[in-house]
Amino acid sequence: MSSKWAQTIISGAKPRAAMPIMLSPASELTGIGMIDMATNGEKQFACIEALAKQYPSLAVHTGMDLSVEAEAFGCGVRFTDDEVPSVDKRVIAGMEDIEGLAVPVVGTGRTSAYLRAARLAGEAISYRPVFGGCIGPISLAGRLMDTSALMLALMKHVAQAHALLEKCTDFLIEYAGAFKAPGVDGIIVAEPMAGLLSPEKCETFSSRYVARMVDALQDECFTVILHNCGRTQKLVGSMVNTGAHGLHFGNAVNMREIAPLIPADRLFFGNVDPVGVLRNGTPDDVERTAIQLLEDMQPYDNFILSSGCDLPPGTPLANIDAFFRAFDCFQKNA
Amino acid sequence: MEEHDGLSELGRALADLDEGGVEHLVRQHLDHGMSPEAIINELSAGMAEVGELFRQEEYFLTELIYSGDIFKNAMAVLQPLCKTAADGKAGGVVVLGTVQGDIHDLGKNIVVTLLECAGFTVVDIGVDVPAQRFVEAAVESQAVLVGMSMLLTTAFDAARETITAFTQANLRDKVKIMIGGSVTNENVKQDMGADFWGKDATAAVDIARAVCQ
Repeated sequence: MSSKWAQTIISGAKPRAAMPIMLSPASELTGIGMIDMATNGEKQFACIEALAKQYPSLAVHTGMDLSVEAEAFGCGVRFTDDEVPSVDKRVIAGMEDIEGLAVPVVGTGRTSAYLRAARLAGEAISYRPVFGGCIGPISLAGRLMDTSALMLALMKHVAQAHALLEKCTDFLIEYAGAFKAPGVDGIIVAEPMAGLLSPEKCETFSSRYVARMVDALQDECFTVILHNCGRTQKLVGSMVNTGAHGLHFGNAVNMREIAPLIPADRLFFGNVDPVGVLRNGTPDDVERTAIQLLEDMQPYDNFILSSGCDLPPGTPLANIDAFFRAFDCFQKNA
Repeated sequence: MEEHDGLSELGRALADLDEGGVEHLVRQHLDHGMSPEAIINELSAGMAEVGELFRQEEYFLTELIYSGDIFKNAMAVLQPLCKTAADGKAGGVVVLGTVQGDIHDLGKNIVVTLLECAGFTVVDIGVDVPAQRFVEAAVESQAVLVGMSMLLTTAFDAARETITAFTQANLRDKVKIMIGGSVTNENVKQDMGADFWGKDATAAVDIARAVCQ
Protein backbone atom coordinates (compact mmCIF):
# COMPACT_ATOMS: atom_id res chain seq x y z
CA MET A 1 0.00 0.00 0.00
CA SER A 2 1.38 3.38 -0.99
CA SER A 3 1.74 6.33 1.31
CA LYS A 4 -1.19 8.73 1.42
CA TRP A 5 0.79 11.25 -0.59
CA ALA A 6 1.50 8.80 -3.39
CA GLN A 7 -2.08 7.51 -3.36
CA THR A 8 -3.64 10.94 -3.69
CA ILE A 9 -1.45 11.73 -6.69
CA ILE A 10 -1.92 8.41 -8.46
CA SER A 11 -5.68 8.43 -7.91
CA GLY A 12 -5.96 11.94 -9.29
CA ALA A 13 -7.39 13.24 -6.02
CA LYS A 14 -4.58 15.75 -6.05
CA PRO A 15 -3.42 17.45 -9.25
CA ARG A 16 -0.12 16.23 -10.56
CA ALA A 17 2.74 18.67 -10.87
CA ALA A 18 6.32 18.59 -12.02
CA MET A 19 9.11 18.14 -9.50
CA PRO A 20 12.66 18.90 -10.54
CA ILE A 21 15.39 18.04 -8.03
CA MET A 22 16.89 21.44 -7.31
CA LEU A 23 18.23 23.72 -4.66
CA SER A 24 21.21 25.55 -6.18
CA PRO A 25 19.04 27.66 -8.57
CA ALA A 26 17.79 29.41 -5.42
CA SER A 27 21.13 31.15 -5.32
CA GLU A 28 19.98 33.45 -8.09
CA LEU A 29 16.71 34.14 -6.28
CA THR A 30 18.18 34.79 -2.85
CA GLY A 31 21.79 35.81 -3.37
CA ILE A 32 22.82 32.99 -1.03
CA GLY A 33 25.94 31.15 -2.23
CA MET A 34 26.54 27.41 -2.28
CA ILE A 35 28.73 27.43 0.81
CA ASP A 36 26.11 29.15 2.97
CA MET A 37 23.44 26.93 1.48
CA ALA A 38 25.40 23.83 2.44
CA THR A 39 26.46 24.91 5.91
CA ASN A 40 23.68 27.04 7.37
CA GLY A 41 20.24 25.54 8.01
CA GLU A 42 18.44 28.89 8.12
CA LYS A 43 19.94 29.98 4.81
CA GLN A 44 19.19 26.65 3.18
CA PHE A 45 15.60 26.99 4.38
CA ALA A 46 15.45 30.46 2.84
CA CYS A 47 16.50 28.89 -0.47
CA ILE A 48 13.91 26.12 -0.22
CA GLU A 49 11.21 28.68 0.57
CA ALA A 50 12.27 30.92 -2.33
CA LEU A 51 11.94 28.01 -4.74
CA ALA A 52 8.58 27.02 -3.24
CA LYS A 53 7.27 30.55 -3.83
CA GLN A 54 8.75 30.82 -7.31
CA TYR A 55 7.77 27.43 -8.75
CA PRO A 56 4.65 25.22 -8.44
CA SER A 57 6.69 22.09 -7.78
CA LEU A 58 4.93 18.97 -6.54
CA ALA A 59 7.18 19.08 -3.47
CA VAL A 60 10.26 20.86 -2.18
CA HIS A 61 13.29 19.28 -0.58
CA THR A 62 16.55 19.92 1.22
CA GLY A 63 19.75 19.97 -0.83
CA MET A 64 21.01 16.83 -2.55
CA ASP A 65 24.45 17.17 -1.02
CA LEU A 66 26.14 13.79 -1.00
CA SER A 67 29.03 14.89 1.19
CA VAL A 68 27.11 15.63 4.40
CA GLU A 69 27.00 12.11 5.82
CA ALA A 70 30.58 11.29 4.82
CA GLU A 71 31.73 14.45 6.55
CA ALA A 72 29.94 13.31 9.71
CA PHE A 73 32.04 10.13 9.54
CA GLY A 74 35.19 12.29 9.37
CA CYS A 75 35.82 12.74 5.64
CA GLY A 76 37.26 16.02 4.39
CA VAL A 77 34.98 18.09 2.17
CA ARG A 78 35.83 20.72 -0.42
CA PHE A 79 33.55 23.75 -0.56
CA THR A 80 33.29 26.36 -3.30
CA ASP A 81 30.59 28.93 -3.93
CA ASP A 82 29.82 27.68 -7.42
CA GLU A 83 29.60 23.91 -6.95
CA VAL A 84 27.98 21.53 -4.52
CA PRO A 85 30.45 20.28 -1.89
CA SER A 86 32.41 17.13 -2.63
CA VAL A 87 34.44 14.69 -0.53
CA ASP A 88 38.18 15.14 -0.98
CA LYS A 89 39.59 13.12 1.91
CA ARG A 90 38.49 9.58 2.75
CA VAL A 91 38.48 8.04 6.22
CA ILE A 92 39.03 4.44 5.16
CA ALA A 93 42.42 3.76 3.60
CA GLY A 94 42.23 -0.03 3.79
CA MET A 95 39.96 -2.89 4.80
CA GLU A 96 41.55 -2.91 8.25
CA ASP A 97 40.07 0.53 8.96
CA ILE A 98 36.46 -0.66 8.67
CA GLU A 99 36.25 -2.50 11.99
CA GLY A 100 37.34 0.54 13.97
CA LEU A 101 35.19 3.03 12.07
CA ALA A 102 32.95 4.82 14.54
CA VAL A 103 29.33 5.52 13.58
CA PRO A 104 28.72 9.22 14.26
CA VAL A 105 25.78 10.55 16.19
CA VAL A 106 23.13 12.45 14.29
CA GLY A 107 23.85 16.15 14.49
CA THR A 108 27.55 15.73 13.80
CA GLY A 109 28.99 18.17 11.28
CA ARG A 110 26.51 19.64 8.86
CA THR A 111 23.81 17.02 9.43
CA SER A 112 22.31 19.43 11.97
CA ALA A 113 22.09 22.17 9.32
CA TYR A 114 20.18 19.91 6.93
CA LEU A 115 17.82 18.75 9.68
CA ARG A 116 17.26 22.37 10.69
CA ALA A 117 16.47 23.35 7.10
CA ALA A 118 13.93 20.54 6.80
CA ARG A 119 12.25 21.39 10.09
CA LEU A 120 11.97 25.08 9.23
CA ALA A 121 10.60 24.19 5.80
CA GLY A 122 8.13 21.75 7.32
CA GLU A 123 6.84 24.46 9.65
CA ALA A 124 6.71 27.31 7.14
CA ILE A 125 5.86 25.71 3.80
CA SER A 126 2.52 24.23 4.75
CA TYR A 127 1.19 24.67 1.21
CA ARG A 128 3.64 22.17 -0.29
CA PRO A 129 4.98 18.73 0.71
CA VAL A 130 8.51 18.94 2.11
CA PHE A 131 11.14 16.22 1.76
CA GLY A 132 14.46 15.75 3.46
CA GLY A 133 17.36 14.18 1.66
CA CYS A 134 20.16 11.77 2.40
CA ILE A 135 22.60 9.53 0.63
CA GLY A 136 22.11 5.77 0.21
CA PRO A 137 24.24 3.14 1.96
CA ILE A 138 26.61 2.07 -0.81
CA SER A 139 26.98 5.61 -2.11
CA LEU A 140 28.04 6.64 1.39
CA ALA A 141 30.47 3.72 1.58
CA GLY A 142 31.90 4.89 -1.75
CA ARG A 143 32.70 8.23 -0.20
CA LEU A 144 34.18 6.87 3.00
CA MET A 145 36.69 4.87 0.96
CA ASP A 146 38.04 5.11 -2.57
CA THR A 147 35.33 4.08 -5.00
CA SER A 148 37.50 1.69 -6.96
CA ALA A 149 38.68 0.08 -3.72
CA LEU A 150 35.06 -0.35 -2.66
CA MET A 151 34.17 -1.95 -6.00
CA LEU A 152 37.09 -4.35 -5.53
CA ALA A 153 35.97 -5.07 -1.97
CA LEU A 154 32.57 -6.17 -3.27
CA MET A 155 34.43 -8.93 -5.15
CA LYS A 156 37.32 -9.77 -2.81
CA HIS A 157 36.47 -8.64 0.70
CA VAL A 158 32.76 -9.30 0.91
CA ALA A 159 32.52 -9.63 4.71
CA GLN A 160 34.28 -6.31 5.27
CA ALA A 161 32.12 -4.65 2.60
CA HIS A 162 28.99 -5.81 4.41
CA ALA A 163 30.43 -4.63 7.74
CA LEU A 164 30.93 -1.18 6.25
CA LEU A 165 27.45 -1.15 4.73
CA GLU A 166 25.95 -2.13 8.08
CA LYS A 167 27.60 0.87 9.71
CA CYS A 168 26.48 3.18 6.91
CA THR A 169 22.92 1.88 7.14
CA ASP A 170 22.79 2.15 10.93
CA PHE A 171 23.76 5.82 10.65
CA LEU A 172 21.44 6.57 7.76
CA ILE A 173 18.43 5.10 9.54
CA GLU A 174 19.10 7.36 12.50
CA TYR A 175 19.82 10.40 10.31
CA ALA A 176 16.89 9.93 7.94
CA GLY A 177 14.65 9.21 10.92
CA ALA A 178 15.61 12.57 12.38
CA PHE A 179 14.00 14.26 9.36
CA LYS A 180 10.61 13.01 10.59
CA ALA A 181 9.14 16.20 11.96
CA PRO A 182 5.86 18.10 11.61
CA GLY A 183 5.34 19.09 8.01
CA VAL A 184 8.07 16.86 6.62
CA ASP A 185 6.49 14.32 4.32
CA GLY A 186 9.32 12.02 3.40
CA ILE A 187 12.89 11.65 2.31
CA ILE A 188 14.75 11.34 -0.97
CA VAL A 189 17.46 8.69 -0.68
CA ALA A 190 20.13 9.20 -3.35
CA GLU A 191 21.89 5.97 -4.24
CA PRO A 192 23.68 6.68 -7.54
CA MET A 193 26.52 4.26 -6.93
CA ALA A 194 24.10 1.34 -7.13
CA GLY A 195 23.73 2.20 -10.81
CA LEU A 196 27.26 0.95 -11.38
CA LEU A 197 26.50 -2.55 -10.14
CA SER A 198 25.15 -5.71 -11.73
CA PRO A 199 21.57 -6.60 -10.77
CA GLU A 200 22.81 -9.27 -8.35
CA LYS A 201 25.28 -6.98 -6.67
CA CYS A 202 22.78 -4.13 -6.58
CA GLU A 203 20.41 -6.40 -4.70
CA THR A 204 23.11 -7.69 -2.33
CA PHE A 205 25.04 -4.51 -1.64
CA SER A 206 22.49 -1.75 -2.11
CA SER A 207 18.82 -2.69 -2.24
CA ARG A 208 18.81 -4.93 0.80
CA TYR A 209 20.28 -2.07 2.85
CA VAL A 210 17.94 0.51 1.33
CA ALA A 211 15.08 -1.88 2.16
CA ARG A 212 16.21 -1.77 5.80
CA MET A 213 15.95 2.01 5.67
CA VAL A 214 12.52 1.84 4.04
CA ASP A 215 11.27 -0.63 6.64
CA ALA A 216 12.47 1.62 9.43
CA LEU A 217 11.26 4.92 7.98
CA GLN A 218 8.36 4.63 5.60
CA ASP A 219 4.76 4.76 6.73
CA GLU A 220 1.46 6.20 5.54
CA CYS A 221 2.63 9.73 6.25
CA PHE A 222 6.31 9.49 5.36
CA THR A 223 7.29 8.53 1.83
CA VAL A 224 10.71 7.28 0.76
CA ILE A 225 11.78 8.25 -2.77
CA LEU A 226 14.77 6.21 -3.98
CA HIS A 227 16.91 8.08 -6.50
CA ASN A 228 19.35 6.26 -8.75
CA CYS A 229 20.65 8.19 -11.75
CA GLY A 230 22.81 5.36 -13.06
CA ARG A 231 22.18 2.86 -15.84
CA THR A 232 19.27 1.23 -14.09
CA GLN A 233 17.51 -0.64 -16.91
CA LYS A 234 18.40 -3.96 -15.33
CA LEU A 235 18.02 -2.73 -11.75
CA VAL A 236 14.38 -1.67 -11.72
CA GLY A 237 13.20 -4.90 -10.09
CA SER A 238 15.77 -4.52 -7.36
CA MET A 239 14.77 -0.89 -6.79
CA VAL A 240 11.09 -1.88 -6.61
CA ASN A 241 11.96 -4.59 -4.08
CA THR A 242 13.23 -1.97 -1.63
CA GLY A 243 9.61 -1.06 -1.01
CA ALA A 244 10.18 2.66 -1.60
CA HIS A 245 6.94 4.31 -2.64
CA GLY A 246 8.75 6.61 -5.05
CA LEU A 247 11.46 5.69 -7.58
CA HIS A 248 13.47 8.44 -9.23
CA PHE A 249 15.44 7.78 -12.42
CA GLY A 250 18.25 9.62 -14.19
CA ASN A 251 18.66 10.38 -17.85
CA ALA A 252 20.94 7.39 -18.41
CA VAL A 253 17.79 5.34 -18.99
CA ASN A 254 14.94 5.45 -21.48
CA MET A 255 11.78 6.00 -19.47
CA ARG A 256 9.72 4.15 -22.08
CA GLU A 257 11.64 1.00 -21.14
CA ILE A 258 11.46 1.67 -17.42
CA ALA A 259 7.81 2.67 -17.08
CA PRO A 260 6.19 -0.73 -17.74
CA LEU A 261 8.30 -2.24 -14.96
CA ILE A 262 6.98 0.06 -12.23
CA PRO A 263 3.99 -1.17 -10.17
CA ALA A 264 0.96 1.06 -10.60
CA ASP A 265 0.85 1.90 -6.90
CA ARG A 266 4.36 3.43 -6.87
CA LEU A 267 5.24 6.90 -8.06
CA PHE A 268 8.11 7.14 -10.50
CA PHE A 269 10.00 10.25 -11.49
CA GLY A 270 12.29 11.25 -14.32
CA ASN A 271 14.31 12.20 -16.22
CA VAL A 272 15.10 15.35 -18.24
CA ASP A 273 18.88 15.64 -18.65
CA PRO A 274 19.98 18.03 -15.88
CA VAL A 275 23.21 19.09 -17.57
CA GLY A 276 22.82 18.74 -21.33
CA VAL A 277 19.27 20.09 -21.44
CA LEU A 278 18.40 21.95 -18.24
CA ARG A 279 21.73 23.61 -17.59
CA ASN A 280 23.33 23.87 -21.01
CA GLY A 281 20.28 23.84 -23.29
CA THR A 282 17.92 26.60 -24.30
CA PRO A 283 14.36 27.10 -23.02
CA ASP A 284 13.18 25.63 -26.33
CA ASP A 285 15.31 22.55 -25.74
CA VAL A 286 13.81 22.15 -22.27
CA GLU A 287 10.22 22.54 -23.47
CA ARG A 288 10.69 20.16 -26.37
CA THR A 289 12.36 17.48 -24.23
CA ALA A 290 9.86 17.77 -21.37
CA ILE A 291 6.82 17.61 -23.64
CA GLN A 292 8.19 14.60 -25.50
CA LEU A 293 8.73 12.83 -22.19
CA LEU A 294 5.23 13.72 -20.98
CA GLU A 295 3.77 12.37 -24.23
CA ASP A 296 5.75 9.16 -23.84
CA MET A 297 4.55 8.77 -20.26
CA GLN A 298 0.92 9.70 -20.88
CA PRO A 299 -0.36 6.16 -20.18
CA TYR A 300 1.14 6.18 -16.69
CA ASP A 301 -0.85 7.88 -13.94
CA ASN A 302 2.00 7.30 -11.52
CA PHE A 303 4.60 9.25 -13.53
CA ILE A 304 5.96 12.58 -12.30
CA LEU A 305 7.97 14.83 -14.60
CA SER A 306 11.35 15.57 -13.02
CA SER A 307 14.97 16.24 -13.77
CA GLY A 308 17.26 13.23 -14.09
CA CYS A 309 19.29 14.43 -11.13
CA ASP A 310 19.97 17.49 -9.01
CA LEU A 311 20.13 20.62 -11.17
CA PRO A 312 23.74 21.85 -11.17
CA PRO A 313 24.71 25.37 -10.16
CA GLY A 314 24.39 27.73 -13.08
CA THR A 315 21.14 26.25 -14.38
CA PRO A 316 19.33 29.26 -15.90
CA LEU A 317 16.06 30.20 -14.27
CA ALA A 318 14.67 30.67 -17.78
CA ASN A 319 15.16 26.94 -18.33
CA ILE A 320 13.38 26.07 -15.09
CA ASP A 321 10.56 28.40 -16.14
CA ALA A 322 10.41 26.50 -19.44
CA PHE A 323 10.30 23.18 -17.59
CA PHE A 324 7.18 24.18 -15.64
CA ARG A 325 5.70 25.93 -18.68
CA ALA A 326 6.02 22.70 -20.65
CA PHE A 327 4.18 20.80 -17.92
CA ASP A 328 1.36 23.38 -17.80
CA CYS A 329 1.07 23.44 -21.57
CA PHE A 330 0.89 19.66 -21.72
CA GLN A 331 -1.72 19.47 -18.96
CA LYS A 332 -3.93 22.04 -20.68
CA ASN A 333 -3.77 20.19 -23.98
CA ALA A 334 -4.10 16.70 -22.53
CA MET B 1 47.57 -23.97 -25.17
CA GLU B 2 44.06 -25.38 -25.01
CA GLU B 3 41.52 -22.95 -26.43
CA HIS B 4 38.00 -22.24 -25.15
CA ASP B 5 35.80 -20.00 -27.29
CA GLY B 6 38.90 -18.59 -29.00
CA LEU B 7 40.61 -17.94 -25.67
CA SER B 8 43.35 -19.97 -24.05
CA GLU B 9 42.62 -21.60 -20.70
CA LEU B 10 44.46 -18.72 -19.05
CA GLY B 11 42.62 -16.07 -21.05
CA ARG B 12 39.31 -17.75 -20.21
CA ALA B 13 40.23 -17.90 -16.50
CA LEU B 14 40.83 -14.15 -16.54
CA ALA B 15 37.67 -13.45 -18.50
CA ASP B 16 35.78 -15.58 -15.96
CA LEU B 17 37.41 -13.62 -13.10
CA ASP B 18 38.91 -16.82 -11.69
CA GLU B 19 41.66 -15.21 -9.62
CA GLY B 20 43.02 -18.48 -8.24
CA GLY B 21 42.92 -20.08 -11.67
CA VAL B 22 44.92 -17.22 -13.20
CA GLU B 23 47.56 -17.41 -10.46
CA HIS B 24 47.84 -21.18 -10.88
CA LEU B 25 48.04 -21.10 -14.68
CA VAL B 26 50.62 -18.31 -14.77
CA ARG B 27 52.88 -20.32 -12.44
CA GLN B 28 52.23 -23.51 -14.40
CA HIS B 29 53.05 -21.86 -17.74
CA LEU B 30 56.28 -20.44 -16.33
CA ASP B 31 57.22 -23.83 -14.88
CA HIS B 32 56.65 -25.38 -18.32
CA GLY B 33 59.00 -22.85 -19.91
CA MET B 34 56.47 -20.62 -21.63
CA SER B 35 57.84 -17.13 -22.23
CA PRO B 36 56.45 -14.29 -20.08
CA GLU B 37 55.59 -12.40 -23.26
CA ALA B 38 53.44 -15.27 -24.52
CA ILE B 39 51.67 -15.51 -21.17
CA ILE B 40 51.01 -11.77 -21.23
CA ASN B 41 49.48 -12.13 -24.67
CA GLU B 42 47.04 -14.72 -23.33
CA LEU B 43 46.18 -12.47 -20.41
CA SER B 44 45.67 -9.53 -22.76
CA ALA B 45 43.21 -11.58 -24.79
CA GLY B 46 41.34 -12.34 -21.57
CA MET B 47 41.24 -8.63 -20.72
CA ALA B 48 39.90 -7.84 -24.18
CA GLU B 49 37.10 -10.33 -23.54
CA VAL B 50 36.34 -8.58 -20.21
CA GLY B 51 36.11 -5.27 -22.07
CA GLU B 52 33.69 -6.80 -24.54
CA LEU B 53 31.55 -8.25 -21.75
CA PHE B 54 31.45 -4.78 -20.13
CA ARG B 55 30.42 -3.26 -23.43
CA GLN B 56 27.59 -5.83 -23.67
CA GLU B 57 26.52 -5.05 -20.08
CA GLU B 58 27.23 -8.62 -19.03
CA TYR B 59 29.90 -7.26 -16.72
CA PHE B 60 29.62 -4.12 -14.62
CA LEU B 61 32.07 -1.88 -12.80
CA THR B 62 32.91 -4.32 -10.02
CA GLU B 63 33.80 -7.05 -12.50
CA LEU B 64 35.81 -4.59 -14.59
CA ILE B 65 37.87 -3.39 -11.65
CA TYR B 66 38.35 -6.94 -10.34
CA SER B 67 39.68 -8.06 -13.72
CA GLY B 68 42.16 -5.17 -13.66
CA ASP B 69 43.29 -6.25 -10.20
CA ILE B 70 43.84 -9.87 -11.29
CA PHE B 71 45.71 -8.68 -14.39
CA LYS B 72 47.96 -6.36 -12.39
CA ASN B 73 48.79 -9.11 -9.89
CA ALA B 74 49.77 -11.41 -12.75
CA MET B 75 51.83 -8.66 -14.36
CA ALA B 76 53.67 -8.13 -11.08
CA VAL B 77 54.96 -11.69 -11.45
CA LEU B 78 55.60 -11.56 -15.19
CA GLN B 79 57.00 -8.12 -15.86
CA PRO B 80 60.33 -8.62 -14.02
CA LEU B 81 60.86 -11.75 -16.11
CA CYS B 82 60.39 -10.02 -19.45
CA LYS B 83 63.60 -9.76 -21.50
CA THR B 84 62.81 -6.24 -22.67
CA ALA B 85 61.13 -3.27 -21.12
CA ALA B 86 58.16 -3.83 -23.35
CA ASP B 87 55.09 -4.90 -21.42
CA GLY B 88 53.47 -6.71 -24.24
CA LYS B 89 50.99 -3.96 -24.96
CA ALA B 90 50.79 -2.75 -28.49
CA GLY B 91 47.97 -0.28 -28.31
CA GLY B 92 49.95 2.89 -27.66
CA VAL B 93 50.26 5.21 -24.69
CA VAL B 94 47.40 7.29 -23.30
CA VAL B 95 47.69 9.85 -20.49
CA LEU B 96 44.57 10.27 -18.38
CA GLY B 97 43.75 12.64 -15.54
CA THR B 98 40.97 14.66 -13.92
CA VAL B 99 41.60 18.34 -14.51
CA GLN B 100 42.62 20.84 -11.85
CA GLY B 101 39.83 21.85 -9.53
CA ASP B 102 38.00 18.56 -9.89
CA ILE B 103 38.61 15.57 -7.67
CA HIS B 104 36.20 13.02 -9.15
CA ASP B 105 37.93 9.88 -10.26
CA LEU B 106 35.36 7.19 -10.89
CA GLY B 107 34.75 7.90 -14.57
CA LYS B 108 38.47 8.31 -15.19
CA ASN B 109 39.17 4.99 -13.46
CA ILE B 110 36.64 3.19 -15.62
CA VAL B 111 38.31 4.58 -18.74
CA VAL B 112 41.74 3.58 -17.39
CA THR B 113 40.65 -0.01 -16.88
CA LEU B 114 38.84 -0.30 -20.21
CA LEU B 115 41.85 1.12 -22.07
CA GLU B 116 44.11 -1.37 -20.29
CA CYS B 117 41.67 -4.13 -21.23
CA ALA B 118 42.01 -3.00 -24.84
CA GLY B 119 45.81 -3.25 -24.70
CA PHE B 120 46.79 0.37 -24.19
CA THR B 121 49.46 1.52 -21.78
CA VAL B 122 47.78 4.08 -19.55
CA VAL B 123 49.58 6.74 -17.56
CA ASP B 124 47.07 7.67 -14.86
CA ILE B 125 48.10 11.03 -13.39
CA GLY B 126 45.26 11.20 -10.89
CA VAL B 127 42.85 13.98 -9.99
CA ASP B 128 43.10 17.75 -9.56
CA VAL B 129 45.91 17.73 -12.13
CA PRO B 130 47.50 21.06 -13.14
CA ALA B 131 47.83 21.81 -16.85
CA GLN B 132 51.61 21.53 -16.87
CA ARG B 133 51.51 18.05 -15.34
CA PHE B 134 49.43 16.82 -18.30
CA VAL B 135 52.10 18.18 -20.63
CA GLU B 136 54.97 16.65 -18.65
CA ALA B 137 53.27 13.26 -18.51
CA ALA B 138 52.62 13.29 -22.25
CA VAL B 139 56.24 14.19 -22.98
CA GLU B 140 57.67 11.64 -20.53
CA SER B 141 55.51 8.80 -21.82
CA GLN B 142 55.52 9.85 -25.48
CA ALA B 143 51.75 9.61 -25.43
CA VAL B 144 49.80 10.37 -28.58
CA LEU B 145 46.51 10.79 -26.77
CA VAL B 146 45.65 12.71 -23.60
CA GLY B 147 42.30 12.32 -21.87
CA MET B 148 40.88 14.95 -19.53
CA SER B 149 38.05 13.94 -17.22
CA MET B 150 35.73 16.38 -15.47
CA LEU B 151 32.49 16.20 -13.52
CA LEU B 152 32.20 19.88 -12.69
CA THR B 153 31.38 22.70 -15.06
CA THR B 154 33.77 24.84 -13.04
CA ALA B 155 36.58 22.62 -14.31
CA PHE B 156 36.06 23.82 -17.89
CA ASP B 157 38.52 26.69 -17.50
CA ALA B 158 41.22 24.33 -16.23
CA ALA B 159 40.60 22.07 -19.23
CA ARG B 160 40.96 25.02 -21.59
CA GLU B 161 44.20 26.02 -19.84
CA THR B 162 45.51 22.49 -20.28
CA ILE B 163 44.86 22.58 -24.00
CA THR B 164 46.57 25.97 -24.16
CA ALA B 165 49.57 24.50 -22.31
CA PHE B 166 49.93 21.84 -25.02
CA THR B 167 49.78 24.56 -27.69
CA GLN B 168 52.40 26.65 -25.90
CA ALA B 169 54.65 23.58 -25.63
CA ASN B 170 54.36 23.12 -29.41
CA LEU B 171 52.78 19.71 -28.87
CA ARG B 172 49.29 20.37 -30.14
CA ASP B 173 49.95 18.74 -33.51
CA LYS B 174 51.63 15.72 -31.91
CA VAL B 175 49.13 14.95 -29.15
CA LYS B 176 45.40 14.47 -29.60
CA ILE B 177 43.19 15.56 -26.72
CA MET B 178 39.90 13.99 -25.70
CA ILE B 179 37.54 15.10 -22.97
CA GLY B 180 34.90 13.18 -21.05
CA GLY B 181 32.62 13.36 -18.03
CA SER B 182 28.93 13.86 -17.46
CA VAL B 183 29.07 17.65 -17.92
CA THR B 184 30.78 17.43 -21.31
CA ASN B 185 29.31 17.12 -24.76
CA GLU B 186 30.19 17.84 -28.38
CA ASN B 187 29.59 21.57 -27.94
CA VAL B 188 31.89 21.72 -24.93
CA LYS B 189 34.55 19.89 -26.92
CA GLN B 190 34.33 22.38 -29.75
CA ASP B 191 34.30 25.33 -27.40
CA MET B 192 37.44 24.10 -25.65
CA GLY B 193 39.25 23.17 -28.82
CA ALA B 194 39.68 19.51 -27.89
CA ASP B 195 39.91 16.88 -30.62
CA PHE B 196 37.46 14.30 -29.28
CA TRP B 197 34.59 13.94 -26.85
CA GLY B 198 34.07 10.51 -25.31
CA LYS B 199 30.40 10.07 -24.46
CA ASP B 200 31.29 7.15 -22.19
CA ALA B 201 34.18 4.85 -21.39
CA THR B 202 33.66 2.57 -24.36
CA ALA B 203 33.64 5.59 -26.67
CA ALA B 204 36.99 6.60 -25.16
CA VAL B 205 38.41 3.22 -26.17
CA ASP B 206 37.11 3.67 -29.72
CA ILE B 207 38.78 7.09 -29.86
CA ALA B 208 42.06 5.66 -28.59
CA ARG B 209 41.94 2.91 -31.21
CA ALA B 210 41.33 5.46 -33.95
CA VAL B 211 44.16 7.73 -32.78
CA CYS B 212 46.69 4.98 -32.17
CA GLN B 213 46.08 3.01 -35.37
